[in-house]
Amino acid sequence: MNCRDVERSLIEHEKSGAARLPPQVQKHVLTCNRCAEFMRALNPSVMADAPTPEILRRLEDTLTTGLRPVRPLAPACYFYAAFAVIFILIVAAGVYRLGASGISVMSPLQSIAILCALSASAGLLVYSLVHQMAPGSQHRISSTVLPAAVIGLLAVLMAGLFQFQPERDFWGTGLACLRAGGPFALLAAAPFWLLLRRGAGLSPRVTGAAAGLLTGLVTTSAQEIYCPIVDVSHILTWHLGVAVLGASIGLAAGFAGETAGRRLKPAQR
Amino acid sequence: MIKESGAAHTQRNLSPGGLNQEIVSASVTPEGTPANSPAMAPTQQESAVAPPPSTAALDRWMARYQQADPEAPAALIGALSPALLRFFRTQDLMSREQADDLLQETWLRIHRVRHTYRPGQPVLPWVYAIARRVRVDGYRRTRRIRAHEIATDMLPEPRPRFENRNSLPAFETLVAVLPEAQREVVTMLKAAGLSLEEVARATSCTVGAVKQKASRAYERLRRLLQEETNELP
Repeated sequence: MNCRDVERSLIEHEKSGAARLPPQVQKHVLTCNRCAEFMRALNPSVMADAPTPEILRRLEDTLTTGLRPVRPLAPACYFYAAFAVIFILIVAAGVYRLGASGISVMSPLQSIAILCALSASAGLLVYSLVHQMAPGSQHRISSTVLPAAVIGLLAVLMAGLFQFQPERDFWGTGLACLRAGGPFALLAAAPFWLLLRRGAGLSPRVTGAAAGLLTGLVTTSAQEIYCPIVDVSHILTWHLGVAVLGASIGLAAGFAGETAGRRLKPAQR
Repeated sequence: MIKESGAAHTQRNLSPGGLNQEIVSASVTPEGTPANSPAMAPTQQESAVAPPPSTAALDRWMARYQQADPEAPAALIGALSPALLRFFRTQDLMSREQADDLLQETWLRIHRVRHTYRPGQPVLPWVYAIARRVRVDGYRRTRRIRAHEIATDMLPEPRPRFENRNSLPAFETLVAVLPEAQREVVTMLKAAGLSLEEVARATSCTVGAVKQKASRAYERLRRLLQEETNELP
């Protein structure tokens, strides 16, 4: 065993959380001055930074005063189900209200690809949001990168699936499409917010962007099923654009919430 | 999966630098005298510390805290505050007063969002995720204030040096040379005694990313220590 192996075993040991280092590592450290010094350097003394008894007492008093029982956050599966039900119900309401002429215009490959991509995107966003609600949850996908990645991948997929077909009235048809689908995003925003407000939301900006994008995707999904225009510029601007707008509004709301929270804190003290 | 990982923590003691403490004890000769330098032996003050509670005990206290048990806040504050304070102090080499402020803010935030802890899950990643957020908010506040201060405060700190072979820089000074992400990981692993998985949960990263950061940090620290030793007369 050499010094590099000690570093590697140290990381493996931290991964396992075991109480003792492997015997061969202990043996090496006893004979190697450099490794012994390295281990000593990484040994923080505990008592040097102990908080003062007054601070501890003050904290205890603050936390104990008016202490009331709280209901723990429901298991993650309930939130997954709630988000999924809301998403599906509102998209279904959109299809019921507007029709499904978009599906009849698209080829089977286009329909399957776009609906699968939208479902997968919504699923990933729900997964990320549910994990953001409880601090210290296990993250397999970076919640910061996810909204941008979802928008980027959907844009690439849409650009690849649909072709450019010049429209006679780009703005007119686009605004009509937006007016038809937009209310469904507003309809989804309220229940999503009600679900999310139970969580901690440690990073309101990231949570806001993901929630806004999910809300926007409700409209995008309804529009994809309803809208008979398969021009790529129309789809990117008026369908995916709603999702981007939702993410931007969510990000701005999170930013405003964070700033308001920061201003409020000194006043509370 | 979450429950499995939670169970893996149940027998571990919350001993900051527990691993190194083990090395310290391994370095003592059968006669009881330190085999290496005096710095290796724990101080009298440290050895007087009562054994810290296990993570399983913390999980139980947290569940009782949610049920409004009046003893729970004191138990949790007593068990977690020293490591939290060190976490804050190590991160930005901040003053004691600033670290105390962040500690208090962390506990207030923990109190406010205590319902988001799910019983049966490990408490430490939950607490450190909140502490990390408080630190980031605190850092942003201080950065805004510092931006208006005179430039002399921005002169680089001299590199940590140790006078002789038996004198090592303090943990805080040593890890201060690391980039922020690596410093955070090393502090959580060494000063707070979290496992790789717990650090991954607390920092919202994957275990692989934490492992990589730890590996790079150790490599850099070892190189720094080696350079310092070589430069000594």
